Amino acid sequence: MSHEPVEETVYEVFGQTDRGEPYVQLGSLPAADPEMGLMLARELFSRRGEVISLWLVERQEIHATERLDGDLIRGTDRTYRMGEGYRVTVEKRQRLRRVKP
Amino acid sequence: MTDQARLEAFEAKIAGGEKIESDDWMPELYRKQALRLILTHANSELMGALPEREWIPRAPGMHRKLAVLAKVQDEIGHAQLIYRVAEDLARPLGLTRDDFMQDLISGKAKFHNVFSYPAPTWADVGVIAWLVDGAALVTQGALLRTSYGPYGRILRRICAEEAIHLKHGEDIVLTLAAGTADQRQMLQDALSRWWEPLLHFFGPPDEVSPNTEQMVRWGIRLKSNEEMRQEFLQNYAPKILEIGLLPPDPGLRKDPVSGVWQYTQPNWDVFWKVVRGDGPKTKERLELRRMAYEDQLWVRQAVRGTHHVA
Repeated sequence: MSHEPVEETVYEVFGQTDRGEPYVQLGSLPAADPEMGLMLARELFSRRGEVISLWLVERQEIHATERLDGDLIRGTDRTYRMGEGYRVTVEKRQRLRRVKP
Repeated sequence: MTDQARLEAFEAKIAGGEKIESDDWMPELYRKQALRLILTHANSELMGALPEREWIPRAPGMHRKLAVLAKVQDEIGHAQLIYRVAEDLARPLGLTRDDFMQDLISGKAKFHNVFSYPAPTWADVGVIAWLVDGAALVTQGALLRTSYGPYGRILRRICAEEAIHLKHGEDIVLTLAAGTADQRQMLQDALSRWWEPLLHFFGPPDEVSPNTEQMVRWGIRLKSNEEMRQEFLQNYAPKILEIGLLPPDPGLRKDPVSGVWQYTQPNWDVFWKVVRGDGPKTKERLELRRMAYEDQLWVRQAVRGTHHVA
């Protein structure tokens, strides 16, 4: 008798803590098929009812960007995209109030 | 990019507090050191379930039985999560979960010394869940900031659950401490038995092997053995003394000036003996793990869809 091993698939696991909340990546697991994977996911990630719903995604089906260097992204001035870039409005309003007849 | 440039970029990333992900470039030594640490943790979760498992049928009352059952299930669950993290690290080295299991069963891979000791009474169950899990929480809490991202992430869940185990253990201990003279004696005996393994838990003081230094530099580990032992004594010694228990060490006291806990060094020969696989229950428990692994081969084959080719 000989065995022909079928390699298990690695699935990424996502969970939703409550209705209206986003699905968040919880970890990954190996399983032979999605049914077994979902069963294991429930045992591994929701023993205390932490999530109301689980997603299983085959890792190799995920399309991802390159991981960019954080310093490089944050080193560029993007204040025009951010709320804090417009804090100056408070001062501008005050100035307007002062010149008002 | 040359290897030297890669190494410099890698170290700069760690120095800047960035995490390393499984698909990032990393030095071979980083991969091996992280893998060894992570596998020792996974093996310990798996082996740690065994002494407590013995107490599921014997736990006093339905509530306690369910709590011990849940704890055992948590420890096995932790092992599953950590082995998964290890699999991604080990893949470029050509190692799989089956290799991890073989290395554990054959005694080649290590697990924590505390899981080589017997748990003869119900008080031992309380002391293990309170103080062994408390000690584990000190080491794992320090590892939450590890430079290896996937391990740090999974540790958040694990630490949260260990904190629950600790409360469960403390509840058992406090119940016995408020019980009959016999129950208090049983508790004191359990503490006396576990004191030395608990001091051993963090490893010998001030080991400054080049290996450890490198691990600290790369942020795989973050605190020294003695730092963690002091944190444990700081957190738990007062709580132990407060309920009238006496650690079996007349030299135990907190230096009022430095705040450092003084203690009598445990017998480190005993520690090394256990590390070498010669603890009181090491062989018996590894044998149980081997039996489980071999007896359940058909289950693994069934779920993996392994075909029998006649």
